[in-house]
Parts: sequence; structure tokens; C-alpha cells
Amino acid sequence: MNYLTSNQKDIAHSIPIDIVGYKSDMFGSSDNTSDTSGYKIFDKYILIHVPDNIESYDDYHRNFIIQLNDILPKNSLEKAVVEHGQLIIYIKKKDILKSAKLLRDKITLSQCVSVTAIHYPINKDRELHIVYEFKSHTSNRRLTVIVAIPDADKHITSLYAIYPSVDWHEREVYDMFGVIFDKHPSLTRILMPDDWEGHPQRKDYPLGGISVEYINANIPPPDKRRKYNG
Amino acid sequence: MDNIYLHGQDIEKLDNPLFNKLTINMGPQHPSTHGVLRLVVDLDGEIVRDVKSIIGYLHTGIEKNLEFRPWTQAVTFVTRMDYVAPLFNEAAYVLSVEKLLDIKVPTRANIIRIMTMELNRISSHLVAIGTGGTELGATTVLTSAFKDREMILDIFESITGLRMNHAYYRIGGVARDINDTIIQDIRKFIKTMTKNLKDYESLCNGNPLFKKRTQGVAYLERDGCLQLGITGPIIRATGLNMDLRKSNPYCGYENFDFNVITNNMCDAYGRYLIRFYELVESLKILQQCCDNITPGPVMIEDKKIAWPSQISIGSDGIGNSREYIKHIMSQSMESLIHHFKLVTDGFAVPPGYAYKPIESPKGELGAHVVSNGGTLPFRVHMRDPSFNNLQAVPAMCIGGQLADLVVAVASIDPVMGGVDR
Repeated sequence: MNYLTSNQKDIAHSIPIDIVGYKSDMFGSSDNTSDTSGYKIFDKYILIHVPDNIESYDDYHRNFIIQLNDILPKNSLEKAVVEHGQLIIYIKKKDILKSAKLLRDKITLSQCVSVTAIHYPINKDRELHIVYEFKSHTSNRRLTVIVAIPDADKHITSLYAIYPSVDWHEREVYDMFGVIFDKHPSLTRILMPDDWEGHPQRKDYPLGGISVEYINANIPPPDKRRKYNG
Repeated sequence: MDNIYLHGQDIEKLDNPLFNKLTINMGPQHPSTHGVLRLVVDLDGEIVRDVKSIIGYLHTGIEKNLEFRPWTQAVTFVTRMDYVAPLFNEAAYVLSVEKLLDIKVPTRANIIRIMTMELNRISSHLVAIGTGGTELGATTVLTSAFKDREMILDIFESITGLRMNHAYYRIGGVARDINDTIIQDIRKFIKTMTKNLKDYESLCNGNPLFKKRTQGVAYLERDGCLQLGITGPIIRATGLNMDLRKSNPYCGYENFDFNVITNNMCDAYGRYLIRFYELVESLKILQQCCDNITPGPVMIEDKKIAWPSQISIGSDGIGNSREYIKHIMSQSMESLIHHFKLVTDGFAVPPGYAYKPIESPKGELGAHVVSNGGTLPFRVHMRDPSFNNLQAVPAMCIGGQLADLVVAVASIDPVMGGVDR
């Protein structure tokens, strides 16, 4: 598991880091300072997608990353990670439309299979990750592209002009996360009613369960139940 | 011109040439829209000028609910998404989580998964063929398709205890082993089904009425399919050899001998033929499963992840087996602790993101699964093929007849449970 302690977190990194969770190991106390060591070494920030040295990846993925680095606009590739045999690249927000066109035309990623988003409230300035899944029929390649955008500026260019299939997927991401896809032809709610308030898949949106009542017993809704620390 | 709203008694006014565009609403409670799909159709006489599909009437927030329950319990939720092919939802989710955990499932569990998935593929295709037939007015197709599907549901009942919404796959294996009686049942089913396939052949394949209603209808070529992200039988009916069981094998499909069915018809008839011949291929795979299955465990060895008990089916339904309850309640306190630790707390999954697509009867089905290292999923999103394929309705229908709209929707075979989730 990749993690950072509180001290390391403030060190500037050249490669953007993505924090997905926070864990304070043992010695927890009721006040805010759960750390009893005095050196903040028990507070851990859990990281996702920390790239290895490119030499440690297998040939196929190494060549793929080199090829992508050549093709994509300059400095648009933030990081490239191979996890569980799956290549994941992070692209800068401003380059996504240009990159998608190049991915389609230069390396025959003919379908954009799926678009979704993930909300990491703890990941400052990179709270929302927009995930694109591409696939190629001619070379049987797959590629995951992630664009990290800040919660304060939830705008990203729609890929509708390049891949018309993203139409409904982007509407769903808008519906569920409030991400605004610029230049989308009809960005309206798709699953929730038109007059719904809030965006349900965001982490700050409550589940809104009701408790189950028995005689002499009361089972709280799933989001209010006791938490276990995995 | 402003919109003019007409009521039923004003129907004579439609003769007025001013009303050359009529917008009608079809659904969400319409018998031939496959559930709660709503279509808003602009008509010029009988010609469809524009069509919008509106979804969301069956949205149940399954993905949000998953974030508040342990990894294992999520299977019970995802199985309710595409309820005609429940085992595929479970497989997509379970395979993605297994990818995150980096675990390998025992061979017998994989063969059981393939067996149940292929049975499920047959039942899903039968629903597609049957309901598609009845929407054209051929009710006999529906009755024979549902009669054959009943046999599969009976087999499912004997394997999982339930006819739908099985929650049968577990992370690391399956919930219950199968016995020889079930394999004999499946062999019997293969024989009966092979015989019954001739019924469909004579009812539909060469039927001039059926062909007239479906040939050249809902035409969508390969480039259109690729742009709209279409997968499954629709894209195979354009001649593209695209089947994830062959191109990205999972669960050990690479060890099985079967063909990917394609044709170049691009229309509703072509899609019907694809589904029909896939029934034959699925039966072939089932036969190989029955021949190749070997005894062995159906759950991984790793006690930190493996579900401690096997489900058994008693007279009052499914539950933990009697011997197991006896074991944890009166023989081994450590087993009891272990059981409750796994059942209430669950296991932690290393942080990461995984997407493992599988070939569901409708196309590419995949689960985006994100973990932040905890015992609950951080985010799960299902890429449902019906959701994506429904985008093709306007491309298939505009310029055609109103009656062909129903054929187009039937040929896409959407299941709204999967579309809205």
C-alpha cells in the first residue's frame, strides 16, 4: 500500500499525487490530535496511482507509454501507471479534447466505451476524477484516461465532437456529480428528475436512509451504522 | 406556430393540414417499450421525424447504496441491475474486485461461472427473441421462448436457490458447489433445447411475415455503431467480429471451443439471427462445461477473503448449512469469531481502480471499481450495454415508420433495470 505521512504530504511533488483516504493507525484519542508520537508518523494518507519507474513495466506497456508520450500534446501527460495489467494515464484538463482526437486518429482507439467520475473530497484541488475507457478493435488495446479537475471549477470539455457515444455517459456524470461538460449538445439530467437538487453520487450527498424499527430495537440506516476501520 | 395540445375527442382536427407534425408520447407504461422506457416521437403521418428516448424511471441508486456496505454484500445489489441477465452483473463486479485483490479463482468455480453465465445468456436471448416476436404480433414465439426459459430458471433454482437475483457469485468463488444431479439436469436441458431450437427456426428464421417486418428495419451500419459505442449482437450484425470472450478472455473462456457469430445484415433480422445462433454456441459451451468439470474447491484458499460458509438449500429456503451452524455455534469459538469478523467487518481491498469488461448478452458490461483501502467500496459504476445502446434509437428510427420503432427497440433489447440502475 502506498501512503504518505503528514510530514511528507507537504513536500512539493513534480508528479501530481492523488490522495484517496486517511488513516490513523492505533493510539487513537478522542481529541483532534490522534497522533501520540509527536512526529505525525501514525497519520497516513493513502495514495492511488503512484507511478513506478517506467523501466519496471513490461515491454508492451512501456512501448505503449512511450508511444503515447510522443503522440499526445506536449506536457499533457501527467502520469502513466500500470496496475493489474491495465494502463491508466492522467491527462491535463485543457488537453483532453485534443488528446482524444489524437487517440482516435493516431492509435485507432475507435470507441469510447464508458465515462464516469469519482469524487475524492480529501484530494485537494483534484477532487473529481473523470474516467474515460477507450478501446481499439483493430489492435485490441484498451486505455484508461483520467482527468483530475478541482471541485471549485467543475468544467471540462465534452468529447461529444470526437466520440458521439459519450453523450449519455457525460449526462450521467453531470447528473450524479455536477460536472459541467462544455460544448455538450444537451447537458440535462438523465437519471434523476429534472427538478432534483444536488448531485447524488458526490460524497457530501447523504444516503438518506431511514432506520428499520422493530419492537424494542432500532436498526439505523446503513450510513449511520457503526464504522469498522479496515 | 405555437404548440397546440389536442385531447382524444379532438382527433378530427388532425385532418387540418396545419398539423403536419404530431408529437406523441410512448411510455413509460407501454407494453412494447421493454419496461419503463419513454419515447417522445415526432410524427409526420406514419413517418418518424424525430425520436427522443427518456430514461430514469427505474433509477434506484444502486451505485450509491454499494458505497455503504461491505464488498461482498454489493453482489446482492448489482444482481438487480440487469434483471434478465443477473449473473453477468455479478460476474462483472466480482471480476473487477478480484482484479483489485490480485487473486485467482479455482478452476471448478470458473467452470461453474461459465456454465451459469451461458445458461443465463440463453435465457436472456430467449427473452429478447420472445418479447421481440410478441411485439411483432407473433405470440407463439413468446410462449415457446418462456417455456424454454422456465427450464433454465428451474436449473438456477436448484443451483442458487433463486430464480432471479441470485447473488450466487462471491469474491473468490461461488456461494455453493453444484452436484452431479444438476449436471445431469443441464445435460438433459441441452438435449431438449437443441430439439426446441428447430421450433424457433421454423417460426422465425424463414417466416416471410417475420422477415418482412424485420429485414431492412432499424438499419445501422458499422461506422455508426462504432461512433455510438454499440457493442454486442448489434455490432456483430454489422460483420465486426467483436466478442470479449474471444478477444479478452476471462474466467477461462480461452479453453473452450466456440465461434463468434457475425453477419452483414445490419438490421433487426440480422440481430435476431445473431441471437439465435448464439444459442447454439452457448449450448456448445455448456456441453464442454459438463464434460470438463472436475471436482475441487469452489472458493479460494485465502481465509482472509474466502467466505467461511457454503450456502445450502433447506426446506424453508437458502441459508447457512446446518453442519456449519453446528460447527461455529458449538464446536469452535475461533471459527465463530472468524465468521463474524468476515461477515460484519469484511475484508479490506488494496487501494486502486479496476475495470474488467465481460461479454454480456447485450454487449460489453464492465464494472468500474474504486477502492481506497477500506472494507467498503469507494465507488462502483456499471457500464451497462443497454444504457449505451439505447442511444442508437434515433439513428435507427428517424425516417422510418412508426411501427418499425417498436422493432428497433426490440432489436436493441434494452433492460431498463440495467439502463437506470
